[in-house]
Amino acid sequence: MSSLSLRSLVKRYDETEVVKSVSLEVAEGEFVSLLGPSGCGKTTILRMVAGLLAPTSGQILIGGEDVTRLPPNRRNLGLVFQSYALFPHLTVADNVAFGLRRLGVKGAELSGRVTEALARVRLGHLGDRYPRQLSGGQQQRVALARSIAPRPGILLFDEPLSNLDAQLREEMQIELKQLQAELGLTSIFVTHDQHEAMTLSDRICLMAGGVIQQIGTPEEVYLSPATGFVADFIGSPNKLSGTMRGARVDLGGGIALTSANDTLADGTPVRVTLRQEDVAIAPIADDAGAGAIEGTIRLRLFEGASVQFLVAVAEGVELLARVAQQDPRATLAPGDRVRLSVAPERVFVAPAGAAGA
Amino acid sequence: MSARRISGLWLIAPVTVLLVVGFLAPTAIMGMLSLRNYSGMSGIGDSWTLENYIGVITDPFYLTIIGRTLLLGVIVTALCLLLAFPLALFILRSGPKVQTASILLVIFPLLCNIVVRSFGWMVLLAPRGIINEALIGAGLIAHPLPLMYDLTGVTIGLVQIFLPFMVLLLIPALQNIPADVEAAALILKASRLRTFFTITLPLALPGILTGSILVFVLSISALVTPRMLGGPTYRVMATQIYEEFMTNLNWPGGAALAFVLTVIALALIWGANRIGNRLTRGISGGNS
Repeated sequence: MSSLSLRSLVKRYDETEVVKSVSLEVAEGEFVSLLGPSGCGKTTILRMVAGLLAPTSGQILIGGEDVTRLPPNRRNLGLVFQSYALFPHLTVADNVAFGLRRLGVKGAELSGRVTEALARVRLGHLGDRYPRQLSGGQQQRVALARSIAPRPGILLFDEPLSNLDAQLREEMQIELKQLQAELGLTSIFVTHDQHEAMTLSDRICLMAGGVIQQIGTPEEVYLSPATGFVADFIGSPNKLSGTMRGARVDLGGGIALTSANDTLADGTPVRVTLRQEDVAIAPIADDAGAGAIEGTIRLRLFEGASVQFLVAVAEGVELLARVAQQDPRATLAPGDRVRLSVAPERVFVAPAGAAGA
Repeated sequence: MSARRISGLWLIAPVTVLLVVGFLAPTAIMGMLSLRNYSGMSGIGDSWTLENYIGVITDPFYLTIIGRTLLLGVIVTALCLLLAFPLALFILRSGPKVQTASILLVIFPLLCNIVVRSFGWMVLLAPRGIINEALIGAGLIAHPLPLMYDLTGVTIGLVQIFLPFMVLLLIPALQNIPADVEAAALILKASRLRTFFTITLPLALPGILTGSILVFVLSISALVTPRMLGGPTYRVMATQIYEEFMTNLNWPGGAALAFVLTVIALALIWGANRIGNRLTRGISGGNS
């Protein structure tokens, strides 16, 4: 296992800076996700780490060694591609053996390690097949086995699960997490799916516009978003605009909420982010606590595990609230009058038009 | 058979008639002709014989011509492949402007008649042609190099003429190689050279085979270029068939030689397909 350091990494194409001075430290055995919308530079960073793209400036260190100018075949990496990138003319076993053969592994050791790698991804019985004879999920597991077989210092993932259907994706997430924990692999995982990033990662590096917005554990990124962009990107947010009035945020229409953020000056126009799951909903008879807003349920959306309510709180102001399906409040119906409240530390405000939007 | 199917068959009727009248019938007539006896005195006889075929496959004169034709085909195909592969890769990996320009340049020679192009090569390669005159003038050689009326001249001419076909068939074959596969090999510690030989080349094999079969068959059956650049002395099968029909008026002999050429071509296509299927089992078709 190796550590990874990115130091002021920049990638520029002609006039456009795709990656703007990104620095990141990944410890041995750590699982870090690069999360962000498409075009945020996350895949570019991964390809630079892999050696498939040359950075415009900056340094890449693997295990303390500067590899910035080394070709991909001298970096001791594994890479799992979104497209699987299996060798179609080789059998599953030969695909897995490819990297091992380059290390000079031969004979009984070779077949032993191929069998072991395939067993780890539960494909021990399919060694003789060709990739096109396998399903998408099986192909991605072969790609995984092929990457881990040579025991790389760092394993890179380029949106490996996004070609799989939803259920298979969740299964693979669990398998991947188990495998990574068992092998203690240093992993960099590129994804645009926040749930995937939160489920799998030790730390998330959230990116937008070629810049790191926040690096932190999934809890940190979720509970204390560093920028307005992070607050908007993570969770299922209500996005509103308002104005600071002391410690309260005026949302217009006579609606105001208390925010724990007291760094912004009075009168500052702000973007307000309220997570659906943070919006507490209660029948009008209950006392929903301080800062409660009254409204009427417009829509009730049954989602299975949860129920979503669209609540009109004032002229032109609607909020989405979400409760677990088992919750007694899940039985509220359209037309019901309700009280909504949000804890002050869950009211995220950021200056309107701030960087990272 | 449903009415729909029958009305669908009408669509292929014109081409069926064309093939029967324009290809199958003449081939059958040629086949019968090749089995007729012939003598220089009385012309085409009316008894049946295998003499023409036996003549072709036992007479050292014909065997030399057959061997020479096959050798020419192999050399032209190999050279086309060697020249076309890097060119196809270059075209595929350049930007859209360079790509369009280079594909146009590849196709451009096809717009020029083969007779004209072969004559152009004669002007260049002749004993007193431009190349020899220039080399003598520069004092590099004392006597003209033999560039024409032999294997060298015919090879140069045919390679230049068939190169576009090979390039145009290799481009889609290389394009079909999935984008990340070569990157995957590099990351698994294969050198660029090894990646080329173990990944790129095998995956391009279907295109290599198609291109090679096409160029080979075109080379062994080419008439104009070998006739012009090979001259009267350097004979290949196609020129000899022409000779039998037009000069010797030995139609049965010419027909037999033509059938031998056809059988060789068909056998090669069949063999190449068999090999191809075995080597590309993971890429296309095959058992599952």
